[in-house]
Amino acid sequence: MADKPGVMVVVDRVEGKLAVISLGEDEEVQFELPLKYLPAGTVEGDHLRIRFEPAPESRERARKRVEELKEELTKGQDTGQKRFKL
Amino acid sequence: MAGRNTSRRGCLPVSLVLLALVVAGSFLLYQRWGRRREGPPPPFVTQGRLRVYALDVGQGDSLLVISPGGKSVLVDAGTPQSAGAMIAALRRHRIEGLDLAVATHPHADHIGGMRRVLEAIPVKNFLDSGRDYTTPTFERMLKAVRDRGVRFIAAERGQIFELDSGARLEVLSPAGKGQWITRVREGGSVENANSVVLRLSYGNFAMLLTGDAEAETEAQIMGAGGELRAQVLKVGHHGARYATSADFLAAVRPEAALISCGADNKYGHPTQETLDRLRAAQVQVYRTDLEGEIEVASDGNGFQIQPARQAEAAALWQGRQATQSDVRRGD
Repeated sequence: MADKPGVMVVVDRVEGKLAVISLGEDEEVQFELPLKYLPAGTVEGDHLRIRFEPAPESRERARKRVEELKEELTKGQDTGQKRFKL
Repeated sequence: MAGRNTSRRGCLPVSLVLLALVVAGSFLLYQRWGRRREGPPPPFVTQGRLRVYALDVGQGDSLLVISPGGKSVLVDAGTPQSAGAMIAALRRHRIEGLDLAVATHPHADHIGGMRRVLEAIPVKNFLDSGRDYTTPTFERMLKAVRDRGVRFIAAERGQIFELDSGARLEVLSPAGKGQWITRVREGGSVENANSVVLRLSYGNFAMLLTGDAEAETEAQIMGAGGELRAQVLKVGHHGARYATSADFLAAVRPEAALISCGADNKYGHPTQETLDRLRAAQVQVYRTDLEGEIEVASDGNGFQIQPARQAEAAALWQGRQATQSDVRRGD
């Protein structure tokens, strides 16, 4: 099975521990990423392929954790209370 | 002789300097000793005036409310990057504890500094939009609320938070109990649309705090009835074009509007369309990107607005351009 095409970006330059990355033919989008997130040995001028894939399982895990936190925070509360004196 | 004279002339100033040093040193010692004896500084007194500060947090929102009797409420906490400056601003305003912290919605330009606030300053109550969100920033904020034992309240229309001296906050949105706004324009944000919207009132003065409310939120608020009139409007969504509708302005009838946005924002906030609507409604505009921190003060009748620095009137009516043609979210 052929690899899905990713998004091609270019490492325009490295500023300290940050890589300045350009996207698009006119480099109309630029963003910075710490070098530690890039393949080891990445240098200025490198072309990189990045790929975004939905990670619903990760989102679902986060949703469940937040739901549990909310339950913990509102446990035993009078949720119908309308007036609060600060 | 000349040398002696010079020497004598030199002697007198040296003595004076020494004397001045002794006096200054004694004064400083007295001051320090006195402070130690007095304990902590006296509580900040707002002299019967309600104050609202639109803190300068760059491309984000953070509003500090101090009631006439000294109750304090923080509505949003800026970006993660501005957290240090925001907490320094709270200290500058002598905030040693918050009676209420509000997260209008879970985007990081509004709650980015909230965890650090919760860790740095005692907070009694926490008001949240009630939405569940899946970012680490939101989750860590909730954990900080839990770990600090802060009372958590999900916002619901009609809730009243009484401060003192008759000052109060009323929740206008969200409707609550799962009645979320789920239909938004294409590219719009459900989280923005379900922002906590508050009406702060004190005597005859009122101010609307809108988070990132969008036109759908404004329509729902207007449809719910209730008092919307406010002399000051914190403009929704940093002045984005899909908020602050002409109908909403007609309902609120503000005299002044605050826009919280960053000088370096890429999203085109505030947009020219929003500024034009405000101008057509004869609303005086204040902007944190051009004027820094903005103070609103009211004695319950009139109000005064004092920005930290002056900006040219023409610049205040000049919208910003999005820097990337493919950025739609901020439109």
